Amino acid sequence: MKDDTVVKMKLFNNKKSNGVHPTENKLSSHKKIESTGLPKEVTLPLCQHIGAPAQAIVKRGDEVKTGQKIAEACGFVSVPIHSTVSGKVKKITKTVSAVTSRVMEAVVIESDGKDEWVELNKPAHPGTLSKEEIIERIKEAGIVGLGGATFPTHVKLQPPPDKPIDSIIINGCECEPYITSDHRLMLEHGEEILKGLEIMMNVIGCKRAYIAIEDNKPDAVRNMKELLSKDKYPGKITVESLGTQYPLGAEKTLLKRILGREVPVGCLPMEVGVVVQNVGTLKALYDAIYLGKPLVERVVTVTGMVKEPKNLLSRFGRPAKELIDMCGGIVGDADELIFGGPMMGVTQPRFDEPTQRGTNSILVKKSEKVPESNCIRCGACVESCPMNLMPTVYVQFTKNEWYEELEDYWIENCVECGSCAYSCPANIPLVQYIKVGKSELAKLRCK
Amino acid sequence: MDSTAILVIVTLTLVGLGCGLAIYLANKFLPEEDETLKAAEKVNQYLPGMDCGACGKPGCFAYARDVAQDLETLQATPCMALMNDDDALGKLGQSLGVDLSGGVRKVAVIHCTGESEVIFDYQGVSTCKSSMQVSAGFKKCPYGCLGLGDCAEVCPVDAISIDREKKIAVIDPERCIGCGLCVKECPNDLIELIPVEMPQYLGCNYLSKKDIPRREKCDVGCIHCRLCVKAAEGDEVKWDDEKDLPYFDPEKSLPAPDSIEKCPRNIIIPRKVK
Repeated sequence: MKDDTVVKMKLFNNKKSNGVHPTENKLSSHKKIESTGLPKEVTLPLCQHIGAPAQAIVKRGDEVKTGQKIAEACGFVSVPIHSTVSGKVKKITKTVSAVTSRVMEAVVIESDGKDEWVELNKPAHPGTLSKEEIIERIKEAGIVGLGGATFPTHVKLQPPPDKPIDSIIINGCECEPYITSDHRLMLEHGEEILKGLEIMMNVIGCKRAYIAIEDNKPDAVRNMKELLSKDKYPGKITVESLGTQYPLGAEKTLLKRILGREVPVGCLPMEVGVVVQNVGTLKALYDAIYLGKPLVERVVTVTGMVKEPKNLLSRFGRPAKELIDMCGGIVGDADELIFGGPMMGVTQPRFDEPTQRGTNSILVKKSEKVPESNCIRCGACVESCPMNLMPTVYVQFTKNEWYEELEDYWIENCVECGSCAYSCPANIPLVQYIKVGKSELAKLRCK
Repeated sequence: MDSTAILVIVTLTLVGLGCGLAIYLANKFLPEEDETLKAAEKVNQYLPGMDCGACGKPGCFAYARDVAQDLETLQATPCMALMNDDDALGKLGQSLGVDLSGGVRKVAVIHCTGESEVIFDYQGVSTCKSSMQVSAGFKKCPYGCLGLGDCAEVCPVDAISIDREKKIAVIDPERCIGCGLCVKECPNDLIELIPVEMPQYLGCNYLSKKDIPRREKCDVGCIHCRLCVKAAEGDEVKWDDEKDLPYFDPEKSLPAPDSIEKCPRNIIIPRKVK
C-alpha cells in the first residue's frame, strides 16, 4: 500500500511539462557566422535591458570610440551602454521601444569608418582576479542575458546569501523556430562558452552545471560533449540532450525538466538554487574577461522570406534593413518584420528599426490577417500551457475588465511563450490579451 | 365524488386559509418598512437612473441608499451626472432640506485632434489598450488618440463617436453627462473633465520635449513654441513645465482669444459657451 503511494507521487512529479511542436524551419543552421563590417550610423536606445534605463553621459557633437561608455547604469538592476562604432554623436533623441512600447532616450552615432577602439581593460586570466573584480568587469561591460529577455547578468551572479546556488543550467535549447544563432555559437565558439561557464561557476561557487541542448541539434550536442571530454573538471559539467518541444528554452520549463524543481510564483530561479544562462551570454562573458571587450555585438539570425538566410555577427544599433540587404534582400511580398522568433518575437513598425541587445533574430514574413472567432471552451490552450495555467480564463477576464481576478489565477506565472495562441482553433490572440491584462493589473497595483 | 378530490379541495382550502392568516398576522405585528429604504427611494427619483456605475456603486439605487444614510457620500464619490444637472440637484436639496448648489458642470474633452498619420497596419485585437502594446500604437505620435473606441464602449449615454477615417474619438458635449468613466479608460490619459464654461482647451498631448525619430510630431501637434503664453494678456494661459504644454486653469476659466489666434498649429480649440 505504502509503496503504491510512493509510485503514484513519483508519476505525478515526473509529469512532463506541456508545450507545442511548431515547424522548426531552422533555415540557417548550416550557415557559418559571418561578420558584417561597420554600420554607417547606429541608434542606441538607452534601455536595452530589463531594469532602470541608463543615463546618457555624452553630448551632441562628442567624438566617441568603439566600446566607449555612452550611458551610465542607474541603480543595481541596470547596465551601461557602449558605443558600437567610432565616430561622432549626431544627436540624442527620443525613440519608441518596440519591445516595451515605451518612449525612451536614444543616442545616434555617425560612424567615421575607422573603428578605433577605446582603451580596453587589460585581458586577464580569471584566476588572477577576485570575485568582486570579475563581477565589476561584467557589469561595466554591460552584459545582459542574450537569450532575448536581457536580464542584467551581474545581478544573477550575486544571489542573496540566504539563497545558495547549487547548479547552473546553460541554455542552448533555442526552442523558437527559425533562430539558429545559439546553435552556431555552440558549434563555432564552444571553447569560449566553456571558459565563460568556468568563470561563472567560480564566481557563484557552485559545483554542478548542465548544458541543455534540444536533440534537433545533434552536431552541437556532439561538439559540446567532445570539448567536455578534454575538460579538466570531469563530472562537474554534463551535456543534456533533451527531446525537442516548445517552449523548453523558457528558464522555468527547462529547470523543471532537468532538475524537477518548480520556481514559486513571481520568483526568479535563484529561489530554488539555480541560475539559468544563455550560451550567448557566456560567450560575451568570455570576451569581457579574457579579451576585456564590452558588449558591442552579437550573432543575429536573419531568416524567413529573405534570399539567403544567414547568421550575422552585427554591431548593436544597426538598422535591420541593412542586415536584410546583406542576405540578398526580401523575397516575394513579405511585409512584416519581427525581432525574435515567430512565437515570442515582437513585430516592428518599420524595416529600418535598429537591432538591440535582445535581438537574436530578424524574421521577415508575410503578414496574414486571421479573424478572431469565439472561444468554444475546448481547452486546447490549457492543455498546451507549459506553466499549467488557464489562458482562456485570462482572455475572458481581460475582455470584461476584471483585472483583479487575474491575480487569483496566477497570471504572473505566464511566460508569454505563445503556446496557447498557437494551439487555439479559434485564432484568438491570447498572448496579446494576457499582456494587456498584466499591464492593467500592474497599473491597478500602483494605485 | 371521488374521495381523493375531496381531500385535495380540503387540503388546499386549509393551506390558503393558513397563508391568509400568516399575512394578516405579519401586517398586524411586524414593524413597518425600513425608514432608510423610504429615504433611498426619495433620493433615487432625482438620480439619473442609468445604472452606469461611475460612482463605484452597483447601480443608482445602491448609491441612493448610501446617500440617504450619509450625505457625505455626495462629496466622497460624487455622481457626476447628478452634479451636472442643476435642476435635479436643487430638487434633491429641497427634499432633503439641505443646500446642494455650487457644483460646476463638467464635460469630457479629448486632448488630441487625431491628425497624426497612421504608420503601420495594425491587425491585432481591436482595442486601444491592446494596440498600445505594439510599439506604442500605430500612429506617428505615441501619445495621441488611436480611435479604437475603448472610451466609446463605456459611455453610458453614447456621447462618444469614432471618426473611422481619422481614427479619433469625438465627444458630443451636449450629450456628455460628465460621469468620468471614459477618463479612466483611455490608455494615453487623453480625456479630461473640464468645466462647461471653459472657453478653450488644448487639442494635443505631445509630452516629449524632443522629437522622436521616424515618429515625428504630427502635422498639427504642439511645437512647444510658447507663443500662446506670450500672446496672453493676463494669466489665462500658463506653461506646464512638467508636460511641456500650455495649461488653462479650470478654476478661473478665462478666455484666451489671442492665444487661440496666435497658435501656429491651431490646436487651442475654442468652445461654444452657452
